[in-house]
Amino acid sequence: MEALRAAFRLAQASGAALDGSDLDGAYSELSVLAASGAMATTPAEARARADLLLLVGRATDHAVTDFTCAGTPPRQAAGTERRVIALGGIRAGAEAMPAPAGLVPTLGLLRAALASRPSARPEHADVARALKGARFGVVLYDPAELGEMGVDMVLGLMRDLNATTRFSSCALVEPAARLVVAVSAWTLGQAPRSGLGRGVPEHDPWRFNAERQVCSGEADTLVWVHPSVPPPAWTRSLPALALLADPRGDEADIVVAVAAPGRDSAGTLWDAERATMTFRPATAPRTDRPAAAVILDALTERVTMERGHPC
Amino acid sequence: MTALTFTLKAPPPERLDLSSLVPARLQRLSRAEIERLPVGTSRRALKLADLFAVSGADPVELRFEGGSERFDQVGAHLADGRILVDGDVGQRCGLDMAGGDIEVRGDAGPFIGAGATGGTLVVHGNAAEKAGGAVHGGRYGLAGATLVIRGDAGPRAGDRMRRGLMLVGGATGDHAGSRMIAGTLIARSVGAEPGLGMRRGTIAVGTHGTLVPTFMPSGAGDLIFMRLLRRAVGKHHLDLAKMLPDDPFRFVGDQAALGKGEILVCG
Amino acid sequence: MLTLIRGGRVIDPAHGRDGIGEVWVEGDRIIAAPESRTPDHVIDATGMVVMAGAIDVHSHIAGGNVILSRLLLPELHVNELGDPNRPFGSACGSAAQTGRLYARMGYTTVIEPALPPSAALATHLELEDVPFIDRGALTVMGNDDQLLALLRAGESRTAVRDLTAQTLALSRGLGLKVINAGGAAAFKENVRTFDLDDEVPSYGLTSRRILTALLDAHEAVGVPHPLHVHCNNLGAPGAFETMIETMRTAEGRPIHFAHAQFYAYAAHTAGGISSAAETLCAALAAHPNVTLDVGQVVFGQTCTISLDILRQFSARGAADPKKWIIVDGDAEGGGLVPFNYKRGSVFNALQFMIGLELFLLSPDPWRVLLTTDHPNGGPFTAYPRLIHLLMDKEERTRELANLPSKAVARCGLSAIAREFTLAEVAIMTRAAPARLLGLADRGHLAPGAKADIAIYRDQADRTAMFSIAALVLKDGETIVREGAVAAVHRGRTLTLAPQADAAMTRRTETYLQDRFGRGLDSFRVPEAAFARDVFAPQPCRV
Ligand SMILES: [Zn+2]
Repeated sequence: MEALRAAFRLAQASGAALDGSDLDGAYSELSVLAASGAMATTPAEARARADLLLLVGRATDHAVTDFTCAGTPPRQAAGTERRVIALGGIRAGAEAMPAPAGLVPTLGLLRAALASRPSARPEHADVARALKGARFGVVLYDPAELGEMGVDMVLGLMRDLNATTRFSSCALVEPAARLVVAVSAWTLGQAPRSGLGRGVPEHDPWRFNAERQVCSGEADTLVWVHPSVPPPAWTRSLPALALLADPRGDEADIVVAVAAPGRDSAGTLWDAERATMTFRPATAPRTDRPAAAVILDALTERVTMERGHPC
Repeated sequence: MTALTFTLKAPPPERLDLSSLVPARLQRLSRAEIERLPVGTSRRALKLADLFAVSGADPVELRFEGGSERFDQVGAHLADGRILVDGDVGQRCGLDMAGGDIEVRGDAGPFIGAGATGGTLVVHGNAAEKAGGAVHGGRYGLAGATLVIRGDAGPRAGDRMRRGLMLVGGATGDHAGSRMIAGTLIARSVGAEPGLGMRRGTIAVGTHGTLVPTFMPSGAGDLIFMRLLRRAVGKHHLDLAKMLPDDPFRFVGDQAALGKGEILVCG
Repeated sequence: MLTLIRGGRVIDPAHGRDGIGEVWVEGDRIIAAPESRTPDHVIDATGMVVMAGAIDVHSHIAGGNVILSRLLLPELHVNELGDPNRPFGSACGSAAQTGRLYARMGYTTVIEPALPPSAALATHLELEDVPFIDRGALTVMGNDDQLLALLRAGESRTAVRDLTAQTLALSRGLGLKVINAGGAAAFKENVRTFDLDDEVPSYGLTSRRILTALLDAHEAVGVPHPLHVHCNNLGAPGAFETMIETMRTAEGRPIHFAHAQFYAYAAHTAGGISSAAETLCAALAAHPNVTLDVGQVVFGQTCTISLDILRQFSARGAADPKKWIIVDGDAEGGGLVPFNYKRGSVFNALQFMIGLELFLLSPDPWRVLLTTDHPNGGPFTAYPRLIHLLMDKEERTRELANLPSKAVARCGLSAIAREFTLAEVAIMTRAAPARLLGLADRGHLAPGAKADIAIYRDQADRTAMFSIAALVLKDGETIVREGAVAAVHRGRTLTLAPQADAAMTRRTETYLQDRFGRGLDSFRVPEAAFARDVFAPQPCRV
């Protein structure tokens, strides 16, 4: 949290553009959200209430899915038993539903089956019945895997189902991506792919995609802030500073070792299962590593001084 | 009067926002004011005259001598008049335009014609992704304007298109006409899974990649409609008009969504 | 530093003061006029009106749903280029802009009315980033499984009290809110309409039972702000009956009704709605324990944000633009439905008029507060215009001339001659909300009060007058001058700190571990998570 806030301050002071380190999945979800909305729930609520779980693709094998499937749902509607269906994947304890046509087309076929349209396939009748009959069903999916059109299909399925029953969805998005989207929303009024070059934030997911900006030569410097993920190969074409918790030292032109929040120091992080922020004390406190925010704020101070106007 | 002409002096060092260069805005400005218009998008705060030599006088007819894939928002919100770009343009060319004509002699970046409710856009080269498609948070893709791409278009051409006519003389990428709400998209060929999630509207193609199983074959198309369509297309693209037969093979879908759209195969 | 504000018309209804006079400030407090000291700084307020800083009791300015509203409608928050000096402060829809826009109207305290206990830390971190003003938030209960299971098991009032105290303390709320009690839980079991005596299926509890339990617990904990209630049936024709029945349910206990305008609808014989404002105001007169905020509608585009997911789901068809979000959260969750209030719509025009009618028919300005339920009825930036309409009958007549005559005929507004006085405005926006929140040191200008002071140029155009304060002091510091930021000020977040019961803490730990695989530590809002000393605890009633 503090590193993010400091990164936004530095971007403001220097007129930089911002992006998350891995927002492709998050943006598949965000773009559908901004086009047609969503129906969503938390993994904790799904774990407690869902009588039907539909796991799509990679969601069959994911830590949040393990959490969601664990134990007996204490608040599941009376007289129901949880059914777990793995679409296009395999998972112990789940019924496998093959998706030879591909994940997204198969989701489409399920929607056609629910609406009794002619393209519905007989082999989907049982699952379609189960979806319709669920008291509170939840679909878990990875938007990075399904892409924008896949997310659109999942959320369309939610709208279809909720005409008569209750159903919701959980997108499995990287916790760090969730955190940066939240902080960006309240700091800029917009999602993170924003530029401050003209002083006020401009949100443009295409223009401010960092990889695109670097590869097209539009960017001339890069600051990489992520405790646990080293900068990817495409960052090597321009002068870069990387703030990393456990650096090798050759990840960028300048590498600074910083404290890992939740390990070296206390910090606010995203809890994927609870789908919100949580404060984590240091598990192995050490004081020889500066917080990323301290480095970033020092840069902000210097940039502000040299640019000669307050921020 | 000769067209008000902006001659590019050197390749732009950053992306430019050229949305202020439309007749409605320029008519009220003196030459000096025009030259001071901000067009940069970084803290360099570039002005028009930093990049362009300005000549000519008629602010209803604009000409860009030289282009760049960094020319963003050319003709955005255009209401009338004419813009000619002798070169490439960047993203969002003709965004939300309501009327007038834009001609791009080179290639176009993403989102050309997004939200455009009227007027005509012609690209002689290729267009990138989501040509005639919606921008993030935009209500619609092409929404009543006519968009002609003589070369190829990228993926998701016509995404969330709501009205109007979109013609692609070459090939589109995958998912052409995704989530179409209505309107007509015609292409020589389209990639995989055209019409995914489409509600209404018409996609006419010479050849196509894999269809999603939620499109169903339904015999031949409507003769009268095809004749009207041919006439409308012929005004903009003769080759594509010739491609349209009286009795194309018709698929209806996408039955994952409303299912009232159609793909007409003209092979 | 000793500051003297002199020459202005000082309006302090909490102490019956209205006339040209002085206000003395030292440090962050208002002090009595000193015997023989010269001020370090004199503010000449000649021709101006001096009031305490304004207080908003109900404005959705932070939290997961506010974040989602920004992501749902990025096109609403596009910045006009041209004010690059304070990017975040001018960033449309940002926390920084919220604080700045409130401050320039002379608001110095704002309450976020929907703090979900399971996302308390995130909400408080966002509130911390709302500058200039002090904030507080109301902890939401009434749909959470822990409470409902406890009630289903027939546990004692003491247990419910302990859970309430525990939840308030853990989430650092300033008050207690209930939103369509049981409605969200019922919606998750596919219930689509939910009235006061309908049951949440799996729990066998009526909404009335849950509400009563919370009224009891609220009283037992000693929360200064009355239980803040969002009733069932919001927006439905005939909803005024639900609200009046809910008033009866309170049986004389203090209760605050949020955004009452959205309930003041009677079913009209010819279809649609007509105004029930008169009936509601009569009920208000008959129940002196009741307060309300209006939730005034303002014409234009907005996004409705509510934890009442049952109601928001049923309103999805009205979404404009056609996109909406429903989140089935750990308890309530949230529903976001964009909406465009149109002058030409009979229904929207009636909503607008009914709100004004509630203010003007109110038996007591101390009990009817100014809100738009931001952003549900419209943005808080409409307050100056609304004050203008309340103070100026002619301005109202001009406004009504633009509304559909069919709507005007279904509402008594055009016949009301009443005009608010400046003193009544000060009650409605300062003295009453402070008293209602139990904040003794604000909303007035007596010695000992916080030096949160708004100075306005007295002018006939009340919209202009209240839009841009000439001067705003927060904690004695000048933060706004002629509407512009004079100094960036970091406000505090007001909380209660009720004593948690050790046995309930242990039970909650077990419950949370079972439900979330996490204990209390995961839910806490620790001081260490904040960059500054942010919390200002307020005492409970004893
Ligand atoms: Zn509210």
